[in-house]
Amino acid sequence: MLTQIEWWGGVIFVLGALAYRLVLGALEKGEGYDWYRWLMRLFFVLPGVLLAGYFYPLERLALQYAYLGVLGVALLAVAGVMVQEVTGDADSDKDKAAKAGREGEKSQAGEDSEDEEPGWLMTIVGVAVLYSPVLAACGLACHKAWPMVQRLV
Amino acid sequence: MSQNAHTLHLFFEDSIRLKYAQLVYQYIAEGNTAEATRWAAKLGVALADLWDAEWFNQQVTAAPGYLQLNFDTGTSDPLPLSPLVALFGHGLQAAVLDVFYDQVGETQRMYFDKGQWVPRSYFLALYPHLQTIVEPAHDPDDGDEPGERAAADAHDPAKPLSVARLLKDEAKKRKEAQEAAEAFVEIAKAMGKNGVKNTMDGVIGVVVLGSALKGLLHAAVFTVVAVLLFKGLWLWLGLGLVLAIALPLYYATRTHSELKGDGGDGDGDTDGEAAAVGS
Repeated sequence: MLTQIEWWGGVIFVLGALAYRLVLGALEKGEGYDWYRWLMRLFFVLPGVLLAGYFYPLERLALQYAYLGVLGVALLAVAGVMVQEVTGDADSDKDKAAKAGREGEKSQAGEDSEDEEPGWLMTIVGVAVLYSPVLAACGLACHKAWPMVQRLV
Repeated sequence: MSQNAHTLHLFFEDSIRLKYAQLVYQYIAEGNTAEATRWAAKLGVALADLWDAEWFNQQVTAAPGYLQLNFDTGTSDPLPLSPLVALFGHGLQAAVLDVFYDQVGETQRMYFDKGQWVPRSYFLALYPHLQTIVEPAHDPDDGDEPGERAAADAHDPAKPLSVARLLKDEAKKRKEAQEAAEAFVEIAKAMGKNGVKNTMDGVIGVVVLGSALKGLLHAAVFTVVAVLLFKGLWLWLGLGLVLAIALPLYYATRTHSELKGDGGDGDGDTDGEAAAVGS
């Protein structure tokens, strides 16, 4: 083994990689709205770094500060993506409307009315399941960081 | 002979560069390449980027504020994006490309703004006064609402996309299609030499086998990486074994259904299969 990452950490990594592939694959390739793709990359990569760091002692002070810094940015990215996912994106709604307009209002209108949006509870459950590896990594990182914060403050 | 008829409307940032571009294309239309090259140099671009010698039936119409080019290309020629890429770096502000595919009798219209391929609605929101220039006038006899025909003809990107990127993507797609077609021909030839009677089934078999091998390779890479990075040797070996069975089956089934058109077409539709392999 080249790292100290436990098997269950590996499972979280694999599930996270699958979620990353699913989410980034679903985002259409194009040059507009690149910020969202970058936010998504941060959202997945930073918790990955935190999860890897979880299995190491991080005895040096600089490493502890770096870990806390990465955790802070990762939590911001997670909060940003969660708010975006739960509240929905006005721009994407516009895109959908434009697409419906292009592909023929009449045929789409019927389908859209049948294809209703899920309720907020289902949205939260879906988001939590899809992003559970990221949330688990952040939870573990917070658990590791709390004693560091207490020592440093 | 079938051809694709193009109408390209070019709107420049200033009248000087509009004039330069007009001179370039007027000299091209007259067949005076030397003068066209000279004016292209004044514009700051190479003539080869502005015009392809394979294009024909060229006509230039100069109007106050814009330039209209009409020309034809072969049906298998790519979209004429290179002039747009070149001109957007040298004073072009907006453009609309209208292509009539006379083989199928369909029109496709693409809208460009500041080096980006944009949706029609976006373009018309920026330049509402250009609608009457770039889109055909509404004909009440058609029975359509005003703008309905133009909206149907619009070929819009899902999101704004740079013309340079579009050109690169198109070139890549053409190269891949050509390579796939060449590979298909090679495989078919090899099978013919080896006495395989139904070449199409043979080619499909080879492609399906290739995708199964790709699945096996993915499983192997996953297992090696997981074993090296994470503790739990037996867990990762077991998972790798499961993937080594599941991934080849999944990839092979997916490729087979793609080639066979979900199995609904039967064996008779060999042309469709060839097109699928070729693409």
